Amino acid sequence: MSEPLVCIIDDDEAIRESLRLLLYAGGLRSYVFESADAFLDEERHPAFDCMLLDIRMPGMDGLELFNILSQQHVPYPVIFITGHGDIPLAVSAIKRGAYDFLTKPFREGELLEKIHSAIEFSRAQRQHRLELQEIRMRLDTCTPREQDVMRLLVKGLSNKGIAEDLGISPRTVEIHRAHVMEKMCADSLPALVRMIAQLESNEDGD
Amino acid sequence: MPVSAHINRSAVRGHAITRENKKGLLVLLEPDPSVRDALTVLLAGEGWQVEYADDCETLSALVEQGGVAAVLSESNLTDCSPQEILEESMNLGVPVVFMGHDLPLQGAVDLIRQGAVDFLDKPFPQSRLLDLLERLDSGHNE
Repeated sequence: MSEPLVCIIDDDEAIRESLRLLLYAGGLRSYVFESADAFLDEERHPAFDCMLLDIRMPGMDGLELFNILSQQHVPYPVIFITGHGDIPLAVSAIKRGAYDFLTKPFREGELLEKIHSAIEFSRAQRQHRLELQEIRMRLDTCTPREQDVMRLLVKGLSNKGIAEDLGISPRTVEIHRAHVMEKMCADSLPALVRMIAQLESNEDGD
Repeated sequence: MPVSAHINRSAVRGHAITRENKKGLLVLLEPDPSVRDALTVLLAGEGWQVEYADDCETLSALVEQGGVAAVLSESNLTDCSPQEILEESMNLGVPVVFMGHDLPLQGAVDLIRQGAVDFLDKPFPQSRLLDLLERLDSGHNE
């Protein structure tokens, strides 16, 4: 796995340089832009793990860029860099999905800590998305009847209960159940329940 | 001033003015008496019921009773940490709004990241609080 890549957008050259060096010393690669427009002008970006975004910049400021990125569902966490403590602004940005804030002057340790935290978060999110995708794919391989049985299984019904509910024989339920466990790659009922719960909680959050 | 028919617990009760636009129940944690009074007058005037809590135990008891639309709390309390307040409330699905004074930006940011619905930097405009609570209440009723 290559080293994490951080995108830095800041209009101050001295800051860009010092950030780049700090990150380098911390084992992180960086990709640097001097303005939001410069970032948007670039047609293709590499896959960033995290973004450090200055709030106050001439031209398009950090918040405007963040709005644009949010609308496009950009998948990496954004850490804002701010020089002044505007609390309502920060609160609003966090509520709209910003990952964290760095207030100047910041300690080197604090910077690296937050970036590592953001990268971890980003990787966990990606992992979670992949898992969900995997579960959905497995679900699609189940027949409608198998899905019926599965739904009742995770509700806690016994084979007999499922048979009564669906109007089929317990033997048939057993067969469907075995197929479900195999197709879903679930080695136990609790494992199956967890998978379905994951799927459902994700749907609620959308 | 009319007092609503609520069973009195150890917490000190606020007064509710019965109006057509009667709103939900708020739990207020605010150690400064003048701020607490001012907020109570503001909120009750808008139709909110207000109950006070000055420690985690009281908060817990009130929230567990059910029917709380939101918790409004000063972030710097001696008897209760913001994290405890968040835990008690969020476990029961009750949104928490914090207020604070002279908090560093990171403090406010962290509270939101930990699950607070908002942070109001004192002094804040009344409309900000009222609009926010209005949104929470309508969410609660859905």
